[in-house]
Amino acid sequence: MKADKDIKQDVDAELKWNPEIDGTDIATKVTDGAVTLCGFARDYHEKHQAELSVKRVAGVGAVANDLAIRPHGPGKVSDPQIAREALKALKLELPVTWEQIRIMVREGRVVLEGTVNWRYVRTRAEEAIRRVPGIVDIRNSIHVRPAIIDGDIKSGVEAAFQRSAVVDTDHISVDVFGTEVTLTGKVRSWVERDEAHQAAWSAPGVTSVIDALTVRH
Amino acid sequence: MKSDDEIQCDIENELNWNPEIDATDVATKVTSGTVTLSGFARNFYEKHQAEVSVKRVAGVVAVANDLAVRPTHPDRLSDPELAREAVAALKMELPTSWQSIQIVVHEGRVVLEGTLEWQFLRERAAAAIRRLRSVVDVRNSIQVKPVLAAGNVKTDIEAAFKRNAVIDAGHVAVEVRGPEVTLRGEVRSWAERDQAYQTAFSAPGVMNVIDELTIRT
Repeated sequence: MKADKDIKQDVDAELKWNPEIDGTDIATKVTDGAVTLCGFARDYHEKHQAELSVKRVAGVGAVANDLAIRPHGPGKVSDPQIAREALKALKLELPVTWEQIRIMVREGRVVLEGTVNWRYVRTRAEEAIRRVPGIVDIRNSIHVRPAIIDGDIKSGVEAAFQRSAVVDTDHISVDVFGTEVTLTGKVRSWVERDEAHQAAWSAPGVTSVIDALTVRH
Repeated sequence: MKSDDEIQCDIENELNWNPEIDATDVATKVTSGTVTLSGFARNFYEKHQAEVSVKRVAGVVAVANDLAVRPTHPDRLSDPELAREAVAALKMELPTSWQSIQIVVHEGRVVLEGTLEWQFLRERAAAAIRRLRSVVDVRNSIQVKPVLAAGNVKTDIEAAFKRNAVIDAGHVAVEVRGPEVTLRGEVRSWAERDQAYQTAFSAPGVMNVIDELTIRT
C-alpha cells in the first residue's frame, strides 16, 4: 500500500497542478490514506475544486475538507445579493423545476430545501450555485421523493452496475430496504464510487443511497 | 468479449435508465463496438446526455452521435432571447473571462468564439451553453492560448498520470511538440480517456491535445 508521505507528495503536486486553485494557503495532512485539507480557500468553488483534486490521487481513501473561506475580493457580498444571484443561477440550470426549491442565506451560508422527484435535480441545484460569489458554505437539504416506484430496485441497480465500463460488480453488493439502497464493498477510485452512486440513484423509486463503500487501491 | 447485440441491449437499458433523457425517439446501432445514435432529441442537452450515457457502457469503443435536435417546447426562445440567456449563463460561469468570448446565435445554433487561457475554461463555457433549453447545437470554436510558459510538459504530464487513481500510466504514452500534446495507447474506459485528456490540458503551455487513445475491451 502507498505510504502516507508518498500520498501527501502526490496530493500537494496535484493541488499545485490544478490551475483553478491558488494553493498558497492550503495545507494537507495524510494519515493512513485519509487526507485532511486545512487552511484557506478564496471562495467556495476553490474549496470544492481542492477536494476534487485530492480525490483524483491514487491511494487516497478518505477526504476531510476543513478549508475555511477567506475571500480576496474588494468587499463582502451581502446575503440578499447572494440570494438573488443564487436564484438566477438556479433558474438558468433548472428552468422547469427551480420552483420546487427554496434558497436560504445567512452570513454567506446557503441552505437548499424543498422536495423534488429526481436526485439529479438535487445535484444540479447544488452545482448551479457553487460559483456564486460570497458563498462560504452550502448545505443541501433537498429531499428526493420519487413519483415513479419501480418494483425491483435491487436488480435494476445491479443491472446498471453490470453494464458499466467502470464499476467492478465483483466487489460491490447492493442491499435494498424499502426505497433505501445501501452499497457495500470496495471500489478502486472515487470515479468508480461516483459511477456506483449515479447508477444506484437512477433507479426509479430510490429515496436514499447509503454509501458504505471503501476506496481501496 | 461482449457481442454487439449485448452492447446494444445495455445501451438501450442505460438510456431508459437515465431520467434526464426521453429515449422514445432514439435509435442505436452497434457494429464492432462502434455505436451510432440516430433519431431525435428534444434539445442539445439531451443529445449530449445520450452520448455521455453511451460512453458509460462497457464495450463501447467509439460513438457517432447523429441525433437530430427537434425542439418540442412550444414557446421556444427567439435568437436574440437565446443570445441574451447565453451571455447571462457565461457571465455566471466565467465571471472573470466571459468578455473574451463571442457568441453567435442562428436559429438556435450557438457558435462560441474567442480566446481563453485554459482548456478547462473552454470546457466550462461550452457546458454552460449546453444546459440552456432552447439550444439546438453548440459549436465550440474558442481557442486556447496559454499565458504561462511551458515547463517540462512531457515530464509534468507523465507525473500527473502516475499520481492519478484512474489512469494506468503504463499504457499511455505522451508526446510533446511545442504547445501540442499527443496521447497514444490504450485505456479501459471513457472515464479513463477523459481523465487523461483533461490532465494533459492542465499542463501550463499546452494549446492543443490530440487524443489518439483507443479503448481496450
